[in-house]
Amino acid sequence: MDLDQIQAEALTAVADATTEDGLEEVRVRYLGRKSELANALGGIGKLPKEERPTFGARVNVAKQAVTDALAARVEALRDEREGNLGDAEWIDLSLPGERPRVGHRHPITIVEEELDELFTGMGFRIVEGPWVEDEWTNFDALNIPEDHPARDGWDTFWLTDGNLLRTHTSPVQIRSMKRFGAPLRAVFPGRVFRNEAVDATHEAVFNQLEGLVIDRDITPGHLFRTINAILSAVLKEDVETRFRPSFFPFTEPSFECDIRRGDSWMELCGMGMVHPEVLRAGGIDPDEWTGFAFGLGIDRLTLMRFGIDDIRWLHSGDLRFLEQF
Amino acid sequence: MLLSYDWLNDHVDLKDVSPEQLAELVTVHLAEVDGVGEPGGGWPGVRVAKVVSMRPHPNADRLRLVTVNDGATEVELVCGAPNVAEGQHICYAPEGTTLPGGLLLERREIRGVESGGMVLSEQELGLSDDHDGILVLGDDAPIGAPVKDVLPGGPTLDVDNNGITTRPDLWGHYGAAREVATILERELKPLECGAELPTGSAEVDVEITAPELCSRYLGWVIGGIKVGPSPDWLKRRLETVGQRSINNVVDLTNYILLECGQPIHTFDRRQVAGGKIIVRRSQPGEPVVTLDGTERKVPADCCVIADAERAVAIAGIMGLANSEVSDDTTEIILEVANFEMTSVRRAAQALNLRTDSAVRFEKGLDPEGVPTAARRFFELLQRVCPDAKPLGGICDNRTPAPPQREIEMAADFIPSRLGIEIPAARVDEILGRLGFGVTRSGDQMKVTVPTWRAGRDVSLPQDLVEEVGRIHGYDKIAPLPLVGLNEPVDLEPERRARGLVRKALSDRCGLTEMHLYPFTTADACRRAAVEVGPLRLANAEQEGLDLLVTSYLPGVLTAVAGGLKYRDEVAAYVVQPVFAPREGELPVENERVTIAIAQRPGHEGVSPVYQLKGAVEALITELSVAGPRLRQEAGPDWLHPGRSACLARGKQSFGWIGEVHPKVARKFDIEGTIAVADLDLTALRGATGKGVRMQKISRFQSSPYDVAVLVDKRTPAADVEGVLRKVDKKLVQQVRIFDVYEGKGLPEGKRSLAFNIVFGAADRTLETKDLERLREATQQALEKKGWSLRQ
Repeated sequence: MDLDQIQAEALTAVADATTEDGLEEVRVRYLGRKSELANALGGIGKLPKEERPTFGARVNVAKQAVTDALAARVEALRDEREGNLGDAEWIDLSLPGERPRVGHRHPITIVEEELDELFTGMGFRIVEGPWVEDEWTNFDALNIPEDHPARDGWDTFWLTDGNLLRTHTSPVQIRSMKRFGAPLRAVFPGRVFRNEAVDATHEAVFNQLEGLVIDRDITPGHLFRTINAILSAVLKEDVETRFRPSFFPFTEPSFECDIRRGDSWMELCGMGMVHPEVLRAGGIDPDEWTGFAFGLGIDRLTLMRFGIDDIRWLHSGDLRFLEQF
Repeated sequence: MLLSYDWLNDHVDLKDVSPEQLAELVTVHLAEVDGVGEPGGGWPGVRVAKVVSMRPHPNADRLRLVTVNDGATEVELVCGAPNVAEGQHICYAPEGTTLPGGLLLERREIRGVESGGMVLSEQELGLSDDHDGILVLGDDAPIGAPVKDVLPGGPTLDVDNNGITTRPDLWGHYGAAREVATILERELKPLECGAELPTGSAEVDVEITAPELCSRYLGWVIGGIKVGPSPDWLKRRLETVGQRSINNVVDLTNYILLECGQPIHTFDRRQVAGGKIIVRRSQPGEPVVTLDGTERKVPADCCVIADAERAVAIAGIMGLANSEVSDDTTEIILEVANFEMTSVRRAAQALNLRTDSAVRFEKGLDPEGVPTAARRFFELLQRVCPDAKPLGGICDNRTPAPPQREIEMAADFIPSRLGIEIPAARVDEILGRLGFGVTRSGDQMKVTVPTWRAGRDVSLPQDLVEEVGRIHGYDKIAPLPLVGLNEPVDLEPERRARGLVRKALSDRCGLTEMHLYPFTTADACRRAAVEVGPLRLANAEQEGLDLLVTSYLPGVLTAVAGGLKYRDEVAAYVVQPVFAPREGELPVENERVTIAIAQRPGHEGVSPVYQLKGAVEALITELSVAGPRLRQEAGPDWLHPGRSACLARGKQSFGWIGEVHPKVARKFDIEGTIAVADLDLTALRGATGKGVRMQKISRFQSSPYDVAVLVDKRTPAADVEGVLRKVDKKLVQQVRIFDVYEGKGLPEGKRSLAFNIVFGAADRTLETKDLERLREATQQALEKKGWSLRQ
């Protein structure tokens, strides 16, 4: 077959192809390794030497023509198809999404990690302590004397060996004072235990965060400002606070902080100036140093944050709950 | 603690201070007020009206049709009260009123006559149980006025008890009035106490054999008593703060308790044998019948009041029925005493009888308040029993009073600790109003503490800082920024490690974090085949839930069983400490990571144990633990013996991973497959290496080479992989298993492992002869192990 005829046939085939797959077949047939054009070029050695350049050039012209036609036709077919994508390739995106199994952090962890970030940003150390405490560190050192009602056992989990499950994170105050000395800026988050009947708002195991600042000439003003900053950051709003008298054995004076909620005040956290006996128990001279301490209920913040309706979910191990966060 | 607004008003003028304003001031300067209440909720809608006429009910003999006028309208209504009469001023609740009990008054037919409103009885007003007739007001009650303006009682402030737990002086209205007077800067009126107590020879002999339990006991015989109903003023006062009226004598003792904060008690003199009061330690298990008619056993080591023969009261808690004041009592023995706080608290707790008296004694009362309460009692007794007269003098038996407490400090201590400027005169005024004495000399000041604050309340200069600060107002303290201490802070290693665990497991591997109780039951431990730990709670709330955990396996298995009810696949973990005893020290708290992946039977997906292994590998990478290996071997009893492995580095074991033994799974009602890893995070944290280092990526082309190796069924794939890697440590860039096959076409007891090997060099493209040599070496290495290449 002569080259003109092959080229003409190829160009017709290109023009007649209606799909991109069909065009590929055409390409293989006319330009592939076993095509007539390839064969023609392969057979060039059999021609007389002087005819070879002309023949070679002629073959290449034919190949180029077919190649160009193919490219143009591919583009035309693609344009045609893509012009109609909306109908031709419509899928239903209202079907549920699928994702690989996704893990979850415990909601308490989520809040704790935010608090860690907040407090490290304010230059507070994050210090932990043991869950099992001795009586002295949990009570005596915190100015809770032997005959204080809190020691009578109805809300402390005592171990048979005389130790106890800490009833608050405050013993870590004492451990930190001894470990780091003054000045000190630290928070103590962690789990605490009260031997109480459990209901929707009371858990036997819950989470607290206690903060401690010890320095020279620390006054209630420093405490108030710090609390305002913390609460605004935690609650993600500019809170209006008020401080009023309260009582805790380990602080003197003691305060309760309320935040404004509409026309009324909501009690949020307790705090005070560290009691001189507590400083002394931590090995710090109360004539030289003063400090403040405050406590936040992490469970309460978590319940507020996520709208959790029952505190018992937190330790339930129920995945229907945990997988929501 | 309920404070009556009107009662406070007796002692300090509350003109122009509404109950709500007072509540706010008390909250901000003293202790939180939970709310302002009124008996009957203030009776909204109920007003004073006059009975203008009456006529018989056409269909009922005992009912009458009464016309009342409330100044605006006249209404006829049906009334069944026997005492209703023309001209009376009464409490009228019109139609549409909701009564204190919640009843909404609607128009309805009573025996054929329509009636709207109602004339109210004391019971309907919520004042008492009296339903014998309507409450008749005085003729001076203005027609049309809201009844809350004319009924005695008035509003109450509910003070949060926690805020005043160290303030025994605030458990009576007079002490509270002192605070209110200080806050308002108004005069605290002196308590009317009448004459001094008579000192002549006493007709009662008080002997204290347990002075450590009773520092003071004042006994006094009073005659001319006529027991009867209390006058209205007394009844109303008690009812306002939620107490029920019993009779004039008992009511008055309650009145003194509520006013002075000092509990007092009265005995019928006839019932006190030998005219003798003995204050002694209890004998264990003494059987008694208390005033409430209950038989009880007196707890050991509490204080008992006895006469010459028998116990007559459990000191500070409740009197006994045997010596109770009754209707025909004419002479009483008055007891005003001071009992030791801790013994009263313990006894009240043991008896489960926390009376108003016990609540006050357990705060630690002021012994110097004893005579005042006795005088005030007699002063008021004369109003309710006009014939009352002392029989002899008082017998006031006491241990000597301690010296008055004094606190010395620098004159500027209070302002400097508050961090504000506050004039000395203001400091002195506040302390003075609260009953403290202040003397200043030079740059020092000395403060004497009033006896009612000298218990465990005020003893340090810091306590005075609080007194001045709260009265002056905490709102006057300006917020100040913290300064100094700008060192970088780092998380403690255990906290950081826990964060990495969460990153690996929650963020990278899709597991869910749980928090679990750190205690468990012996039964759960046995079912889970883990150690029943030796550390126990002595007073667990829930029976049997008293073991500190040595493993979270029981809790995790329980949670997984629950999860599989709702999910085809569960993947969760807990990272918390377990507890082991340590001689002479607090228990060791090693942190453990317990991971579980489980599937329901028939669920298609990667087998849990391999998912788990992947998660553990991710965890090890995240923690940068250097070089731990999984060594397959039969592990602890809770693991499937053919599907368990130890995570170890050399001789150090970090824990176990594998499929849970089907026997254990079954005991937790887990069907399907569950794999668990139980790892010691504390140990892993101690074994961290350098962490991730970048591996060079070659710019040169590499060559893949796939081999299938025929091995014995139990030959670990990892062994074969190791041999393939060792062929050339430099040029073998990757060895990855991609197929495991056994069965048809293979000899019995054999399996085929297919690996994808990649050869390459960091500095050049390998030539054909290199590749041939590597292929040759690979075959030889395999043959040396007795493994053959499948073609």
